[in-house]
Amino acid sequence: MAGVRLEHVYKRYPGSTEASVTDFHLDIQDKEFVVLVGPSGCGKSTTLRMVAGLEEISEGNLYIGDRLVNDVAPKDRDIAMVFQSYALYPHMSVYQNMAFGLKLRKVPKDEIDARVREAGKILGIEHLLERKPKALSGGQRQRVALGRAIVRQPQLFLMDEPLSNLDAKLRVHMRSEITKLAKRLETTVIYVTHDQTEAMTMGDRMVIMKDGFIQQADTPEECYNHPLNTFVAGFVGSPAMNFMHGTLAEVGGDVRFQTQNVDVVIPEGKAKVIRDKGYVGKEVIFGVRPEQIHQEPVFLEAYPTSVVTAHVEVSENLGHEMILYLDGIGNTTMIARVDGRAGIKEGQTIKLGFDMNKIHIFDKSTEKNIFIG
Amino acid sequence: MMKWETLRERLSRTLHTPFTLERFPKAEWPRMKTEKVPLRSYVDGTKLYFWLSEMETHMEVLVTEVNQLSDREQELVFWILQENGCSPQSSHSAVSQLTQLLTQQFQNGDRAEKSIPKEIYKALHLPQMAIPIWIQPRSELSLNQDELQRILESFIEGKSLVANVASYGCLLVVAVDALDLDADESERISLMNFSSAIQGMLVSELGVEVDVSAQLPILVESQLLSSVYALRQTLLVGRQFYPQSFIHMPWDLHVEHLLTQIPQSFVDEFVKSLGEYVSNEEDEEMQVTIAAFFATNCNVSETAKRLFIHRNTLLYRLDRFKQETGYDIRNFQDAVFIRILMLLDKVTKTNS
Repeated sequence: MAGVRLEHVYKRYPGSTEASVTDFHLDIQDKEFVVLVGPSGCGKSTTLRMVAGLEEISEGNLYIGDRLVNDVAPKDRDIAMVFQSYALYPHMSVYQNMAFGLKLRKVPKDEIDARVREAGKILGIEHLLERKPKALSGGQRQRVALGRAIVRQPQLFLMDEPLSNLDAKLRVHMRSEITKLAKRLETTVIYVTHDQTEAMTMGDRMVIMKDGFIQQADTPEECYNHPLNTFVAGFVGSPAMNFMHGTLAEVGGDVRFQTQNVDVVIPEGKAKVIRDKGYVGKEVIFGVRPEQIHQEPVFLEAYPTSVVTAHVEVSENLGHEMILYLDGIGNTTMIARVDGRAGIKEGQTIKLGFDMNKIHIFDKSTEKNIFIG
Repeated sequence: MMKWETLRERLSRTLHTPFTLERFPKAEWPRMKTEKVPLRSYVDGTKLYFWLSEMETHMEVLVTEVNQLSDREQELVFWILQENGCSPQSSHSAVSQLTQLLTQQFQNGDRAEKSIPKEIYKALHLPQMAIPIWIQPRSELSLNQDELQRILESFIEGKSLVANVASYGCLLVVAVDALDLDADESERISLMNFSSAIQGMLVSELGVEVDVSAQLPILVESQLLSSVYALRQTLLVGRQFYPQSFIHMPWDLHVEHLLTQIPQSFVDEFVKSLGEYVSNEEDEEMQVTIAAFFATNCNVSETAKRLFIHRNTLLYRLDRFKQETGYDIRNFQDAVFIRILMLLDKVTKTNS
């Protein structure tokens, strides 16, 4: 196994004025599971394709282990790829599907047999080895595709949306299977997805991209708790973080965030940063996650300076939780996630409190989190 | 051997790699005894041999150490040798004759409605009915022709013919039984799956991306040449309209084929007069939405699923499209019109 280092990598296509990937700089440790995530067109698949060697690198260096591989042919990079369209070889059995790549590399028969059976065992498909792909379910086919990659014992696994073709239930199941598999094989994985839940649950680290730029590369916890900018804050977490435009004001020794029907006190630790960085009196973007908005009376009593009044437009009861769509707060519809037993109905006017220790303030022009850096 | 000396000297100097000229026993050169095209190069231990010419009892070869050249440098050497008339394609095997026929056909832009000459057809030992598959690499630089041929032969396990038509691409003629057709599955779906498998396999094993087009079984002797012409055309049309897709099947591209026949000046006028909204690149979200809607046979639930959006969000977008353009693509007539308009818009962009 090996780490991967991308040094200030750019991808420019002929005839295009802007780079598709800009200054991508990342050190991936040996045995690390890194997820590249972002919306369509953010450059995540292009980056993966550069690592695979399917796209040339316009500028910068790519190392797999200690080897500079910019000019190394894809087949000589010692990687295995699993893509969304995992097209199994329909005329071959599962065994032959997994053995084919090894046969081409002239691996001895005994070793091929041992590797295929071992992979079959790991993936729980040893009883299917003689079957043809058409006799397999979606999940079993996906396992065979993984098996084809595993038997190669590569230094690095590249996966591009490998679960997209599966239904929702199977996707959740396979997500944990792949994570377990990566840990068991102690292998380095670069995984591409547009699905932030997949990124959050699978990656040791997630690299969030937008318009070809890395927005943040960190553990899922850090990206969730300390997003560097509004894009990351809005991308990570479901439902997404709520944003409000408003002003920070110094009133009676407190720093307060004020906007339409909102006047809440910022805790002292955060207020100090606001004062030190000169944001008092300035317009900012206030961010609070739906799960950090509370309706419990005990919370409202304990934190009266964080309370707002809202009108419930829509209330969705999911059993264990309720999703409330609220208006009357700030200049936008806000979403709150509260306890499923709260019994809140559409059309009600209710009081809610923000967990002010977990709120975020972003610079209005740069959209960067002012509490970081 | 003297005539190769200048070439050897120049290659050694340019690539900073020692090359020597040697003779190689003819019978030991891979594929010399078969009807298949002999390899252009051959690795034996640490030595890499390049084909120069075929003599009566031996081959004239250019030799270097295998680890001295990168894949790209090897391709460069192949190209230089080919330019100097050294290619196993010049051997008189049936496959190479077929290759020559195809090359001529491509060079002349010939529709080739003719049959394969009887003697070549006989020597090819192909079944009467077979499936032609045309494979064309996306990047010529990254393709090692011999390796491609070797891998394809292994993949089909001998039930086929592989003809490498130089820089044009590669023809695979597969026996119908090699596809292992499923009774529950149509021939078209089987062929589509098989083509996808070839494409995926070449990415995995060779790191090469290729476009693939295939045809339902044909009578090899009388239809192969015209089929290859049609497959190349299909592939060109497929690439033009769907550059993100690697598999291009003739039966999926009938409308697109027809549209390519319309004079560009007429297309320009038409798109300009009617398609301002549709060709609005800034509304990428709407373009993606409409494309997905058509790709799922105008099925709202499927489209929403494919786009990872709520059904109501999709309905809202479709309503917005109707408001802004006057066309409701849930209506068949409007859907057909907008579909054609979008395809014409694509052709215009590709041509410009």
